[in-house]
Amino acid sequence: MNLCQRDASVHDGMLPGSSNLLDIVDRAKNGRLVKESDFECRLLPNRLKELVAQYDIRRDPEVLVPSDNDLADSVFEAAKQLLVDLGVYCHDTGRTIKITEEDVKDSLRNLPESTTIGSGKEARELRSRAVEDKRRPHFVGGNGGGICSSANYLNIFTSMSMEPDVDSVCCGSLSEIDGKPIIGRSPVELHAAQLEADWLRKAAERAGRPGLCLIGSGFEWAGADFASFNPDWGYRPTDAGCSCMIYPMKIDFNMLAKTKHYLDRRMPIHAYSDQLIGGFTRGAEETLVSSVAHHLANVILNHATYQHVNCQHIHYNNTSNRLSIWSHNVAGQAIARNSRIVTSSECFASAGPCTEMILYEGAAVALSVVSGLGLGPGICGCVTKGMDKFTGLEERFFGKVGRACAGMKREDANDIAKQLVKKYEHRFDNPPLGKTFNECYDPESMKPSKEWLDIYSRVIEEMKDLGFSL
Amino acid sequence: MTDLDEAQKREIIEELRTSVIKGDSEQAQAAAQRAMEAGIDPLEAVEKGLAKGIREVGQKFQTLELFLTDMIMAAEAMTAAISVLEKNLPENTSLQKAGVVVIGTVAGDIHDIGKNIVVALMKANGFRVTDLGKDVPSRQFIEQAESLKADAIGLSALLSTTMVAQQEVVMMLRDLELKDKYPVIVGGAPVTEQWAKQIGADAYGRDANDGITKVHELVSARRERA
Amino acid sequence: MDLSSLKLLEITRAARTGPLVDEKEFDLKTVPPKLKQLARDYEIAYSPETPVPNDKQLADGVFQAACDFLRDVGILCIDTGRLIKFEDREISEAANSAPTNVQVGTGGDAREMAQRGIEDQRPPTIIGGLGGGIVSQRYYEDIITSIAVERVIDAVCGGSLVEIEGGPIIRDSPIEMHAARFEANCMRNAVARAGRPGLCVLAGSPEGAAAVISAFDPEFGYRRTDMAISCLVYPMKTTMNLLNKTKHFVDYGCPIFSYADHLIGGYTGGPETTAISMTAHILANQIINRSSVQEISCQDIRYNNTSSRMSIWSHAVVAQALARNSKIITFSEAFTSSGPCTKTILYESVAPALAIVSGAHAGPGPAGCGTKEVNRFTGLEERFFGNVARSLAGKKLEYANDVAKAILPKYEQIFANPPLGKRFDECYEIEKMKPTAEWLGMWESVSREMREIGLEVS
Repeated sequence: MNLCQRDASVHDGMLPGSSNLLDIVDRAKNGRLVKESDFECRLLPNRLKELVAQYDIRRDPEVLVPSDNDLADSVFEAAKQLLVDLGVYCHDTGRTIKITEEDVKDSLRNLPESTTIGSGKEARELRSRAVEDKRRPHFVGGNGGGICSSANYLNIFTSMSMEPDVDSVCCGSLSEIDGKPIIGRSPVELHAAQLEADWLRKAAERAGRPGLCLIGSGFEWAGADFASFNPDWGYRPTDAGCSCMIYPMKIDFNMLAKTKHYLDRRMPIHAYSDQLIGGFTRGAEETLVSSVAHHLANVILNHATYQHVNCQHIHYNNTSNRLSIWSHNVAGQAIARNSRIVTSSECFASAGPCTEMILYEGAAVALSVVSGLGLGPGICGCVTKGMDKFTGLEERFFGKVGRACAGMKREDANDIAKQLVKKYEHRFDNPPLGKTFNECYDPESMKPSKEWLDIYSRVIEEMKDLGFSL
Repeated sequence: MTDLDEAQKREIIEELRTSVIKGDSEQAQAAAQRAMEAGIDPLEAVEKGLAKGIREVGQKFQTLELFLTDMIMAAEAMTAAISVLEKNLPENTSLQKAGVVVIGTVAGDIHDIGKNIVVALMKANGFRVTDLGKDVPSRQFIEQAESLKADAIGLSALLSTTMVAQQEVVMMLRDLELKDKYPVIVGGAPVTEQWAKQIGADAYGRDANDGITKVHELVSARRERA
Repeated sequence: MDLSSLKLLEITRAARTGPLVDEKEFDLKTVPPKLKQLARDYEIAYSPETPVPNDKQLADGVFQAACDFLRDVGILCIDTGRLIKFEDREISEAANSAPTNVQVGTGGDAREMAQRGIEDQRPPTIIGGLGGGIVSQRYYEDIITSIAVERVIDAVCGGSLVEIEGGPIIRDSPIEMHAARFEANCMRNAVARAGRPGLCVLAGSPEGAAAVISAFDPEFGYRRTDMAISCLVYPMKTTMNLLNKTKHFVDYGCPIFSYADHLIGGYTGGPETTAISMTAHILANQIINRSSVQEISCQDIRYNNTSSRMSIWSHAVVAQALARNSKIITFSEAFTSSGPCTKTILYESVAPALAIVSGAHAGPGPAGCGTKEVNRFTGLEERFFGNVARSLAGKKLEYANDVAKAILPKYEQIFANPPLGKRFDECYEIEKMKPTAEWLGMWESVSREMREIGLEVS
């Protein structure tokens, strides 16, 4: 017996990021007491309005992809200011977590040059991109949490994992298991999370890509997330955890607990922070500042390895409208010019698979690659709300078009974007919802239907005419 | 009524309208008080002042000239003013004639943006709305509906793992033999018409506007039965 | 994923569709009258003069009454406010298809647990430890080490951290996760320090399912050869949080130790009705929590101990009921009123050990001061308890009864104002991991007394 001997196989749980989380919880317990409705409806929108005026952040309605470095830099400064002035609201304590300028500086300074996700031949090195970067953008495949039935989940994600441009796959949202509802915070949710992880693993294996990085779990409850970690059938340390901020500028202990779990396992973390143009963050200019601020907060609180930009229109819930495209591009430029944050442009399209419109929408969003963004998650059709309306073919298109944007000039991207948007924006109120996976894919051969392939081929040709080098 | 009185009445009603547009609850309450003192018919004050204001906000919200926070503050201002106007009315008289609705985000779910939009629009459309907030235990919907003699219950869920709580509320209503008394409308991102039918909900709101239409229909049908 | 966890999905759905009940009504108007009626029907009566009964009819009556109780009352899911009901067939299956051999630990500390019979010759398994007793972060690992070094201990059960990093533990937050991970680290380190890295540890003071799940990790946390802890809520209740934990344990593949602490004098009334309820909970745990082994714990509501006369009787009767009518493996939990470095803690710990003769194994425990004083736990009382339990193997029920009657007068009178003894750091030389001379002297003296009454306590 050696009373000093410790179990060599047990590593110390207190990693640096992990102990930072305890400090964050402490700040959440001792921060300023604020009513949530005041934070959302008064403090935040008012401060955003002031900052937009102070930094003269203005949107030119004629421009979708600006070439204005000063604008981008102003947005970044405004975002930092917002974060330092207001902090982040903690749902559990009803107090704001104070974020200092030092926190922002340190977290940006400490961002790694690169991070590896996935394993084996599917290992990918993630690095931040520059504006008009010639390098291939990374591509987060998947349907951005879109609703899938348990009967078709595996097939849908197999079709996506098969697309070679996809570098990591983001999970969907299971709507039921065998026709029965998923009961939140119960063994049923645990089971659903396990099934989802198992299916994502199987999908990658079926696609011949067992080491593909999977981003999960899509279940908000930390317990379900943790239960889906398993070296044999679940998430592994080479996959990416999924954290987020809660719009607007909020977080909760449940999310921080997930972050801790990922940090303890030394996993990469994919964090997101969906925004609503027209929501609590007001118009496009303010929402853009908010989006960048959320990115910074995700780095500090959620130790994000990589993130995505999603500024949805409050009425259409898509990111393919003019306001969103502008916001994504400026956010991308702001982040790319001022940090090493790795982020991508999520595409929520109004239309569904097997339509031209979904591809037009995807192309318009893919153009934000010129602004230093990666691609995805996406293309998520029917703004993620069409059950099983997701296929690998729109991912293929998104990847192809996105790659073609690498090295493109912003002015050229702007011209193309303006032409693209005119093709579909008049249909936002009543978009073509397209077809389900089974209606436009052969689940046996995992190939798209002739109809869908024809549409795809046609639109590819159109893209070439527009100026994409495909 | 003299010209001066008419001018004063117009001015007060205009103040009611602008206070709602500005989302200023204090100003709205003060204007409502002045309206009472000036003897203005409360219904007129609502229709020509408050409701007009909120309809304008709603229209500008549709085009994103104004935003969600403006809708919420406008609805709050309207509610604040109405509470003043109703003070002198007989008990149980409501100026919001469209109906009484109890609404909230279901248990386990802390997302409420969609629900907040619906609440604001409902108030704009003349409903008296009690917003129970988020993460509301199933039984509380029913208790509040009983206490407020609601015309309908609205259940919002944003997660596929929490929408099952919508089913729980419906089941509970059934077990308590209150299902026919309180029609239920469901909505939220993962919620579909099929789900609504499956759980026995009375209506499904595809989006906020659709939800308002459906609630109108539910309330009308209920009143016809009564 | 273990397919048997699918049963839990059924139970979860049943918890949503069963009859709606009011919790308060359930506690006050359903449980107590039903128990009273069953005690009458099956003629179950407590006899203070016979703390360890030898009465087959009594034991069988308790078992039958428990089956009826579970079938008629069901288990209330607090989250849904509905009852989960069970049929006779399920209850019978639970009783008869419990695991007959449970393996825990690895290497030289691998142990096999099997069901014991009444007056069984085979030595019992001893689970030492704190039974969830409250500890500080500073001494957690040391206390567990002091227990793990005692060779008589076959597994060790953790405690409940009162604080972490100087602050309270916040449920469902990174702090709780950190505490859960810290605790798992402590347990693993403690057994390694004791030279017994394969010793089975019992997890799980964190409350939130997410924190518990995160601590089950072969690399740094609880292994498949450790035991997870699941439970029901007294009386006759469960929660989704508890079911979530169970699902994970089943999927993870580790044995499950279940409990359902009872209060004699609480909702379940006196010792006879509490014994019925305890037995019913054990059956329910078998169905719901997929238990590998289970704990008997009937505490006196006034003293939070299992050393009272009524507790001795209840433990004996429940153990006999299950030994005669099921395959369930049981353990008799030891909670004492006294604290370490007192003679009375040693006398008290004999009481729950007596259930060995009725077919139970021993532990967790002993946990002093009703588990409610910080850091009042040491390895020495565990050594004593383990040795007493071992020496009871093969003894007769009458002998156990005599021992009970002889030992009770030595401590019963202190219950109202028990000696709390000393904290771990006050009665142990931590560097050497040895008890102080004072404490050791008490142990030697009481051990001698035990030998004088026929218990071969070395």
